[in-house]
This record gives sequence, structure tokens and C-alpha cells, in this order.
Amino acid sequence: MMIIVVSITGVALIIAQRNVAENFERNTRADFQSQIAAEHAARDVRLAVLTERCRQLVESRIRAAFEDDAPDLVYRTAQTELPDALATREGGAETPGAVLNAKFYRFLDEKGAVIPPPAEDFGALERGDKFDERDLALRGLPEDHQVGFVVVHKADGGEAVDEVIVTPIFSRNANAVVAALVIGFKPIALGGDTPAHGRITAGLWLNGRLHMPALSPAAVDKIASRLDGLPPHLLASGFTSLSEDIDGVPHLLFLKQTNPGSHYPPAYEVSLYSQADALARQRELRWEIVGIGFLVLLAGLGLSHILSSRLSAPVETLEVVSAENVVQRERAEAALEVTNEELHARNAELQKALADLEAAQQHVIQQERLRALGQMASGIAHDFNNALVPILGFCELLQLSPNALQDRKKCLSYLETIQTAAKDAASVVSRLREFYRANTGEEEFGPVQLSRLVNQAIKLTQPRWKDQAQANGVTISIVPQLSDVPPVRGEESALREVLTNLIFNAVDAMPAGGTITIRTRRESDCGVLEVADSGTGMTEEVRQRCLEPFFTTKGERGTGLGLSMVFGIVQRHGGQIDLRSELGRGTTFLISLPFFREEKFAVVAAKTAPTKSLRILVVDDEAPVRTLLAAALREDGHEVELAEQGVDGLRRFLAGKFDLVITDKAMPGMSGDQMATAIKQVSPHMPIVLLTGFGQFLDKEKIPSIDVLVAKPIGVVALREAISQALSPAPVA
Amino acid sequence: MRLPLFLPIVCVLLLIRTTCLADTVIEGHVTLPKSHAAPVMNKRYEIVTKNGVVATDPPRAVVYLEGKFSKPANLPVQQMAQKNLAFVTPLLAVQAGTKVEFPNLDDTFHNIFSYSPAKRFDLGRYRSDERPIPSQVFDVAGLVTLHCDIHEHMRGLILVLDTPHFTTSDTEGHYRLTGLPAGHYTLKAWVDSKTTKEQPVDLKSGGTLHLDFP
Ligand SMILES: [Cu+2]
Repeated sequence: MMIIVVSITGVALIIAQRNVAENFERNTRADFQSQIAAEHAARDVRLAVLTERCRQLVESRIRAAFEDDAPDLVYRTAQTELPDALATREGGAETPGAVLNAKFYRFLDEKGAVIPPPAEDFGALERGDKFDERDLALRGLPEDHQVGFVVVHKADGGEAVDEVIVTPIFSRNANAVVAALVIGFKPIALGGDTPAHGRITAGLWLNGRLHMPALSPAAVDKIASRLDGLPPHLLASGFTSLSEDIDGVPHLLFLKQTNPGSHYPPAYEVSLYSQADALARQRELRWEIVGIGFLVLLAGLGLSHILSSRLSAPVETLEVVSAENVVQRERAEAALEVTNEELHARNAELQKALADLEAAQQHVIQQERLRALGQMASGIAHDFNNALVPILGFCELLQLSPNALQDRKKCLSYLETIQTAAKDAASVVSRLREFYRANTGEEEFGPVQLSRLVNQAIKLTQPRWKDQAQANGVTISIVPQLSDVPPVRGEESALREVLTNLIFNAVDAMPAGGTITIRTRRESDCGVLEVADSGTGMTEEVRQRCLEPFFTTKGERGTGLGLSMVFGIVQRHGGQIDLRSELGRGTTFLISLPFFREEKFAVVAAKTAPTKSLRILVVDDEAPVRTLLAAALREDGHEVELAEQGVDGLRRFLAGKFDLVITDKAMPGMSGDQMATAIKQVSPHMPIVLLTGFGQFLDKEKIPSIDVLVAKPIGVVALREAISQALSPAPVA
Repeated sequence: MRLPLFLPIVCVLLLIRTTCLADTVIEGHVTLPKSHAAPVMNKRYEIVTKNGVVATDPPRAVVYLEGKFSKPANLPVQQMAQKNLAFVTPLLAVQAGTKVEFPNLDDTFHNIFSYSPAKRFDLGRYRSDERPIPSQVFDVAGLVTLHCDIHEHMRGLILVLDTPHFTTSDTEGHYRLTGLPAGHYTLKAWVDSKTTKEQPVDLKSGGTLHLDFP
């Protein structure tokens, strides 16, 4: 009897223990792989954006220099074309907003060899840093971009591995790739830099050397020798294995080539996953299981003792039989366990095969998506630049021609155009935001006058349909046919984008010139906007597909996003889009948008009317913002006192008498919310408006001392709204 | 004794008179590559690069007489104006040593530069009111490609020639060179960056020679 109890408990213990161990290993492995996958995805996105930006950088004077046979001038040219892309400038000063955060650049000649920079300060490498220039050379120029790695020896004796991207430079004059631009970047940091920081330690295995600064040299040697012994087929596939102990802790190791297919030597990313946590937890659990088992055993012994003392005599014969049974059962169980283990192993293999298959499929989809993402990101940058052109142009005009400022009417019309363009630039940025976060659903729909919209769009797109077309020797005219249509409900900047996109589309459809007719008319419950071109028209296939994202007939030039964006915006407005097209005759887009309902508008207007005269304290560390706020507030008849920072603001507040405080959030020294808290301690009912550049990400509930939170950049109407909101008595719960 | 000395001088003078008075002319037709662009009503043309060949579109040829000619001290100043974000004369032929001005007739900035071996320069950003008008002297014969730093699409060509005798054909290829000296020369027709046709010519004073470039 006693033997039965003991053996059952023992078997149960072993099985429980094994299950726990298995679960842990599976979990850690899955955890590790998902972390790695997430980091690879981030890496791929970054690379897609970087290569696209590099491609654009080359499309400049740099290409002209190679096309016109002036490679000796190329570094001097790059010095003026590339500094924005470089993180470090003279003296090694960091530029935080640098577009690419590149560290150095070099050019390759037609043979793939590095064209030496004319002097050390060309090609911008941090002072004292050195690398072997030959590491950048390629055997011949590639048709497509290449990713590689180069070891940089730091001035302080340390080492860093920088990522390089090679962008081929195609010469139209030679009709071939004649050179390449190599840009070096600090590679994205995978996992944490130190083992204590997250459980993944990342490194790079390059040319038989392992670069893993977070590990001790001994540990690095140990892993490197392990990697050296790996057969090539394991190198090709992602390789995971339970590595030996490193500094006394077992680690999982993951190996993946970061630059598959590159003309540069293969570089493998090595990720180590410390199992210290998992082991500790497992050890804890093991003790728990042993403890419970021991208790069960004790109870069983007690029970068996009682039972055996009561039934000892009649059961003695039985016991012999039972003992035999137990032995048989143990055997059966052992056999079962072996089978079970085999099944487990098979299952794991199957699952791995399935996962591999899925990963491969995902990879293909991801690749496609990344390409689109890179294009889209650069498309947005391009749109933003476009929006900046009229702003810079008209500003320059105002500054440079002394007469322009005297002509008040002209001045006002320039300023209006600048304002429109600036608003569009802001909406491009918000589109970028839309791109990475889900829509918040707080859309500002107001009344939009279609005729005004048409006139604005015609004016804004003039450089494209008039000037550029003229430069190409064709004439395009736009004929507006506007009728009296009540305002439609919508977001003006978005609808303007719809119209600009349609105009651009029409221009592209008329390579030999023609007429664009823009009509507005009213229907029973909606306003209709018609854009008709006299261009090439669409085939039935194009007509069917033209609203799909990434569908384009413009080849390299188009992102394929114009019309799909139009479609998206119109849908968002509850409108409808229709298109008629005839090959050789032209295309007409019809967009109908529901009318705006009046009563809602009246409320908004009342809300934004100037309030009574107030004494307002404005605290902001940025002088332009301060001046703008003061001007806007004084225009509305308020008295304004200005402070440059938190402490100064608090001092002025205590010294004077105010009805309202408007403060920036991020300021050196005392921040805006800290100052607000201090003010509320003195006068709890003082209304405080907090301006912030991170409005979307802040929660008002988390800053109780603030009455109204407003995101920058702030317009006059939004400012008035914020003030009236701050002054209206708070709803008491 | 005086007569033998006097005669050659008269002869030389007579020779000079005849070359000056009787105009020596070559005219003809250069067969040009087919134009890619749809026929355009106005006289505009532009510089295009296709398959590694830089040419005007619709195509035009520059026909010139090659030989040893002395350089006059003062060459007339030429202009390469920019209007409507394009060069008014996208292809300009000049004699080596000519000063070319680059007036900006637009409301915006232009920044014309060249990386071509025959003439490297960068005029920087300038507006229509820039005085003196930005200019360059083109001393070395060859093809100079003009770019604008601000308007990537702007393209212009200056063909610098070692001869005072040149003309630009119309888009049909017809040309006419007048005021030529008698003698043995090579007549060349520049068609694009990769193609220059040539034929030997024997010019007799006062005649009109018809010569086609097939
Ligand atoms: Cu320009």
C-alpha cells in the first residue's frame, strides 16, 4: 500500500515538474522570438525610409556632377547638398532634428572604388574616427541599393559598427550607373545595450568577428568560436539554439543575416536572450512542487498506515498482487511517456514548419508593404515641401521688393496665400499622424464654400498647371464654372487636397495641353463638384482600379496615393465619388458632398466671438510664440503681461492681478504644469490654459491644475475658444 | 621700277574687295532624327536626354565651318535668358571668347550653374533686378550643359565653337550660312551630344553652294 502511494506521488511529481519545465522553455522561446520579430520589423521600416531618402538625396547637383563629368567636384557639391542629412557637423555638434542622422558619406567611382575626399573634413566623420576605406569598396557598381557594415575605430580606442547604405547614381547622359553614394549610419540599437537593460543582448557578427560590446571579452570569444563552427545552411536560416552558459547563465541565441543578397560581406545579427529570469522562476516552482509533493506523501503515508493497520491481515495477499500491478503500471506509464515525448517532439517540429511557412508569407507581404511605406513617407515629405514653396516664395518677395510692403492690397493677398499654404502644411503633418495612429474621431467639420475652395485650389496649383506646363511647351487652361451653392459640410483643408489632387491628375492626363473645367452645382441635398479634363481618358481597367491605393499609371513619378486619398476623404465626409471617362475624350470626376446644417454653425460662431476684456498672463519661453499670442490677445482687447519662464511667471502672477493664465508646458526650469500647480495653491479658481506640442498624447485628467489643454500650433479662433472654455464655470460633479 | 612693287598690292586689295563684296553662301538641309514630342504650335523647344543622348526636342542642328580663323578682339555679347522657368534659347551657339549674359526674366530666383569640362561656373541665386546681369566668358570650345539649382527641370546647352561662321537650323533641318571666306574647309553639323556630321567643302568666292547632310 505504502509503495503504491509513494510511487503514484513520485510519478505525479516527475510529470508535473517536466510539464513546468517544458512550458517555461516554450514560453521563453516564444517571447524571445516575438521580441526579435518586432525589432526586425522596426529595422525594416527604418531601412525602407532611409533608402528612399538616400535615393532622393542623389537626385540633385550630385547627379549633375556625375552626369556632366565632374567627379572632382562631387565632394564639394555634397558639402552643400548633404549637411541636412548628417548628424554631426564641424566640431561634432549634434543636430537633433537631422533628417537622416547620417555619420559620414563617400562616393564610389565607376569601378566601385572609393573616390577619396579632397580633404579630411569632407565626408564628415566624427573627429578622430577612422575606418578602412577599402571596406566600403564594391566590386563594380550595383543597380540597386546595398546594405553593409563597417568597423569604425573611435578616437578613444573603442570600436563601433556603422551601417552603410549604397545608392547607385544613374547618369542619363551615359545611360548607365556611373557612381554611387555611400552613407554611413549608426545602426538601430536592438534590444538593450547592456544585459541588465531588457533581456536581449544584441551584436553583429561580421567577417568572422563578433561585435558585442555589452559582453565580457571571454563571453564574446566563447560565442564567436561557437558561431565559427556553424555549418553554412544554419547560417542561411535563422538559427536558434540553447547556447552554453555565458557568465554562468544559460542563453538562447538567435542568428540572422541583416543584409541578405548584398554585395557587401554578409553581416549577421546575433541576439542573446538571457534565461536568468526564467530559470529563477522555474527554480521557485520546482521547490513549490517538491513541497506539495512532500505533503501529499506524508498524508498518503499516514493514510496508508491507518488503512494497513485495519486491514492488514486480509489484504496481505492482495498486496503482493498489487505490488506486481504497480510494477506493470510503472512500465506502461514509462512507455506511454516515451510515446508522449515523441509526439511532443513531432508536434513541435510540425509547428515550427508551419511557423516558418507563415513567416515566409508574412515576409513577402511585409516587403510589399514596406516599399509602399517608404514611398508614402517620402511622398508626404514631398507634399510638405510643396506646401512650403509658396510660403518661402512669397515671404522672400515681401522681404526683397521694397515696394511690395507699401502696397497693402498686394500684401494682404500674399499673406492670405501664405496662410493657406501653411495650413495645408500643418494638415500634411496631421496626415502623417493619421498614418501611424488610428483616427481619433474628433474631426472638425464646418461649412465649406465650394466656389471659394475652387478659386483657392486653382491659385495654389498654378505653378503646376500653368508655369510648369508652359515650361514644357504646352498650354493648360482652367475654366471655373461656378454657381451659387450653399456651403457643404466638411474639413476645408481636406477638401482642398481633394481638389488639388484632381487638378494634378487632370494635368497629368493632358501631356499635350488642354482645358480643365471645374463646375459647382447644387442638387436637392448636396453640392456637386465636377472636375473635367480634355485629356487622354482612361481604359475600362484603369477606370475600375484608379481609386485603389498604390495604383498608378505614372510609373516612378506617382505614389499611387492621390486618387485613393481623394476617395478616402470623400468617404469620410459622407460624400460620393463618381467618374466618367472616355478614351481620347477625357475624364470627369463628380464629387457630391452633403450640405452643412446651419444651426450648428451659429453655436461655433458665438463661441469664438471675442470675450470681454481680460487681464491675461502669458508665459512661454519661445519669443515668437509669445509675441504672436500677445498680438492676438491684444487685438481682442485684452491686457497682456508676458513672462519668459515658469519662475518669472509665478513672480509676476503673485505681484499682479489676473483673470487668466496662458502658459506653455515645456520650459526650462519650472515647467508650465508645475507653475500651474503653484498658482492653484494660491488661487484655486484661477483659470489656466496649458499650451502643448504634445496635445494628442497628453491627458487633461492627469494634470488637475489645468482647466484647458490646447495643442500647438494654435490659431486665433482656437485661442478664443480655449479662453471662453476656461472662463465658463466647470461642470460640478 | 615702281610698277612691279605696285602690282601685287593692287592684286591683294582686289582680292580682299571681292571676298568682301561677293557673299559666299552655303545652304542646305540636315536630316534630323524624328521628334518624340507631339507637334507644338509655338516655336518652343527644349533640351531632352534620351538613351544617353542630349539633344533639343524638336531636334535642331548647329551647322558651322571649321578652319583656322582669327579671333576678333570684340565679340558681341550674347544672352541666355530665363523666362517661365525655362531658357528662352535652350540651345545657344557662340564663338569661343564670347561673353554670355544670363538675365532672369521671371519673378522668382534662378541659380544657373554648369559642371561641364568646357566651362564650370555657378552664378548663385539671383533675381531679375540683379545688376550687372550675371555673365560668363566662354573661352574653350565644347558643349556646356546648364542647370538651375532651384528648378531641376531647367536644362540649357551652350555650344562653344572655334569659328565665327555658324548657324542654328530650323526644326525641319534647313540652314543657311552667309558671309563665308573662300577656301578649303570642313563643314560640320552638330545634331546631338553624340552626333556631329561633317563634309569637306571647297568654297569659291561669290558662289552659293548647296549641301545636304543625309
Ligand atoms: Cu531656375
